[in-house]
Amino acid sequence: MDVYAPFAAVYEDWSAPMTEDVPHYVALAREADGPVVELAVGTARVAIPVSEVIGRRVIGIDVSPAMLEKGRRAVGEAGADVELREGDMRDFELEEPAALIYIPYRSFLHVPTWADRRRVMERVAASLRPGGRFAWNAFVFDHHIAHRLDGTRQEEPVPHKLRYVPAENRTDITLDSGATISLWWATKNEWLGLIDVAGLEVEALYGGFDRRPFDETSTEYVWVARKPG
Amino acid sequence: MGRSEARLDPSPYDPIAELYDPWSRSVTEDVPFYVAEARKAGGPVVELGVGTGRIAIPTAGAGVDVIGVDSSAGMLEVCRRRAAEVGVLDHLDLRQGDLSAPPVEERVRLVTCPFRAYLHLPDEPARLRALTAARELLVSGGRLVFDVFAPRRDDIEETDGRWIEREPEIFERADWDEEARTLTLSLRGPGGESTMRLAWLPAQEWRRLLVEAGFEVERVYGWFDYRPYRGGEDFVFVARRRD
Repeated sequence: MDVYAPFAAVYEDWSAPMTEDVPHYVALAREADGPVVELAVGTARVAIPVSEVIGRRVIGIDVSPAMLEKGRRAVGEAGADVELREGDMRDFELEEPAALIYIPYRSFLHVPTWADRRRVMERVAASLRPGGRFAWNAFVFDHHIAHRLDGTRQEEPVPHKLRYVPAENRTDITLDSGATISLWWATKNEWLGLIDVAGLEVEALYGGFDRRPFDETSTEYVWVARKPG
Repeated sequence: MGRSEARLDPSPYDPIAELYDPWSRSVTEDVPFYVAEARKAGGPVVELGVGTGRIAIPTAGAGVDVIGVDSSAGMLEVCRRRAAEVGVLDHLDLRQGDLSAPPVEERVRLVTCPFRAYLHLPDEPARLRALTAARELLVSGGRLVFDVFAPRRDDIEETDGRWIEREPEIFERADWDEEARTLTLSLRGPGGESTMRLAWLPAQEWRRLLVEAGFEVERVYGWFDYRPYRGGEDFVFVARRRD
C-alpha cells in the first residue's frame, strides 16, 4: 500500500514553505564529481533545481508511486534531467557508485527502526565511491515543542493534526482525510552510531542550512558524512 | 575608511539599527543561497548593504572572508558586535560607504547585494552608477548576485497605508505609489523609528540596466531555491562581468 499517496496529492502545498534546504544540497551537488542520487525524492522539489544548477542528471528514488507520478509531471514541466525510479531506500542499488547521496526534508525519519536505518546507511555506504558523501537532515526532538504541538490541529501549510508518542520516538501527522504518516526521530548518538557501523565518517554536523555550527541550541541536524578513501 | 565616513549623510537605518534583527527575524530563506554562492566563488567576497550581518556572519562562519559595505554606522556597529559574539569578526572587513561608490580597492570574484538593498537607488542614473561600480569590483568573469522585488497589485492593496505588526511590538507601514513605482516604508518599534524610500522596477528593466552596465545576465531566479523566474514578485539576478 502506498501510504504516501494521500500526501502526494497535497505535497506541493505541504512542502511550499521549505526552500532553505535547496541551496545546501545544491552546494554539495556542485562539489560532487560523479553521480548524484536523491533518496525519498518525492515530487522532485529538490532534485529539479539540483540538476538544473549542476547541469547534470540526478537519479531520484522513492518508494511511493503516487509521489513519483507527481515528480514525473514536475520534472517534465521543468524540462529537468532527473531520472525517477521506484525503490526502497533500504535496498536500492546503483549501476555506478555515487559521488553524492542525499535525503532532504527529514525523510530519513520515515524508516521506523534502528535496523531499518542501519540498512539504509549500509546501502548508502556500499553505493558511494571512496570519498563520496552522504548528506541528510533531521529534526532535533525537543520536548517543549512536542508539548506545545501534541494533539493540536495546524492549518498551515495543509490542515493536519500532530501527535507525539515519546515511548515510540514517533510523531504522527494526520490529514483531515484520516491519512497518517509517521516520523521516528533519532538522537545525535543514534546518528553517530549509524554512521559508525556503516563505516562512514562525519565530515560536518551543522545546526542549519546556513551551515552554522551545531550546538546546544540547535533544532536541526544537518549531517554530511563521507566514505573514507 | 574615515574618508568616506566624513561625507556620508546619516542613514535612515541608524535609528533602527537595534530594531533591525528582530524586525527581519523571519527572513532566512536567502541566507543558505548567498552562503552557497560565496563558498562557490571563494573569498573575499564583497557584500553591499551588509547591514547587521544577517548574511555576512554565516558566510564568514562558512570560512569565506567578507568585505561588507553599508552606509549606516549604526548597522555596522551591530554587525561588529554580533560577529564578535560568534567569533567571526576576523573574517569580516566592515566599511562604511555608499552602495554606488563602495570604498573597496580589492578585485573579487563575487559581489552581492542581498535583500533588496538596490531598491534604495532612487532613479536610473543612480542605478546605473551603482551597477557600474559593482562591475568595477569584479575580476574578469566575476559575478554580481542580488535580489529585488516588484510588488503585485494584491500585495499593494493589502498593505497600502496600514500599520501592520510584523513582529511583536514592531510595526511596519507601506505607502505605495504605483505610478512613480516607489514605496515609502515606515518602521516603528521599541526604541526606534524610521522612514525610507524605495523604488522598484520590473525584472526586464533590471536586465536592461545590467546589460548597459557591462554585465551578461546568466540567470534570473524566482526565489532562493533556484526556481526559474516566471513573473513573480521576487527575483534574483546572477550577472557576469563582460569584458
